[in-house]
Amino acid sequence: MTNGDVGLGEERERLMGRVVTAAMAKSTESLSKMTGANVSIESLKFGLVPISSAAQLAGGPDTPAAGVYLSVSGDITGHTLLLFPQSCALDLVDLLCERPKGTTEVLDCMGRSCLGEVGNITSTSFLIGLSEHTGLKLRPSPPEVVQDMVGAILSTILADLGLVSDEMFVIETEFADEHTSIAGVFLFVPMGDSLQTILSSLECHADGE
Amino acid sequence: MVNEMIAVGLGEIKVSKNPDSTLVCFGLGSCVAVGIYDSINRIGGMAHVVLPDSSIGLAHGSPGKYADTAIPALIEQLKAAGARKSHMRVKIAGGAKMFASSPGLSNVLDVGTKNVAAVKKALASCGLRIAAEDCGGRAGRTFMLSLKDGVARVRTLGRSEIEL
Repeated sequence: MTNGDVGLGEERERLMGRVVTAAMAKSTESLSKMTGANVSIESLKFGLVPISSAAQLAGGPDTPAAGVYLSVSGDITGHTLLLFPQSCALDLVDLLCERPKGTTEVLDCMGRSCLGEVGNITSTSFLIGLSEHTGLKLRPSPPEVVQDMVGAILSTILADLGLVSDEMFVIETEFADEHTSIAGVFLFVPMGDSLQTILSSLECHADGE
Repeated sequence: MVNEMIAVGLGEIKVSKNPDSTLVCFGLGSCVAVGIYDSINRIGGMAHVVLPDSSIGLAHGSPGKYADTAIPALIEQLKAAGARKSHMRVKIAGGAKMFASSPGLSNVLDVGTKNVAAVKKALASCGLRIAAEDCGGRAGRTFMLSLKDGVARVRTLGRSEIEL
């Protein structure tokens, strides 16, 4: 998946790139405030990927990971998923709890709660950014923390998407700060006609500017 | 001889006659892996089933995506490679429930259970019985089928690897 070939057309790709960048900037700003670290975006890619290869995201299908899932309803439907490799999830909990790196060895109740909040803030900040650029009403669900292999977590979402499409639109990004590598991957997956709704709303907003 | 790992991705069907290969479905969640092995001809195949029924979605793309189309297609591909149905042994794994309560996934919250039921129904329709299975629960799995001897193994995070 590269930004040079997202399958949207040049103009829509430009508009989408602008809103994705702005929405992710809002997410990292919120994440920085929460963690007290200077979190930035390491990479940002978006585009259409075949469902059959989607499980290769975030380190591969049997990579141990912790994810925070939210569903999106309102004017569109979709899913957000913030995925961290297991070791990074534990480092992030240490960062949030102001403990030395390596202290947290398993994700206990407190750790899951911390991670859930990170996922909640990242996803809802992104959705607020998206809403501001499109005028769409977006309602996130409460976060759900899940720990398992990347493929096992993703496949349940892909099964939902697989009812209507063989491709999915994915925003993939990695976060980092200057001290702790936070190699999280954020996925935003609009369902069905939702991508079309987002693009149409973006064009309307762009025309009004 | 180096053992060749053949990854079977979402909705894919793969068949091999190489006894030094292992068919693998990595990171199964609600999906179900169906492994079939002909021990006489040493031919094996695997399907990575994503959804139970081709009638609930747009029935396009790979037949391996749906249980009702994947099982007949897998059997046909095995027969085309030289396997005989009377020698086929079936092992399945997967069908977990990964999310507890997410409302946005209400349509598929129980897709793992439905996938397992649909796979069993399709196998029965084709006249095949299941020799071993590791299905359900809340944990993801990696399912491997050795074409050397038909031994299947299941890897789960936090649990020792088991043999089926």
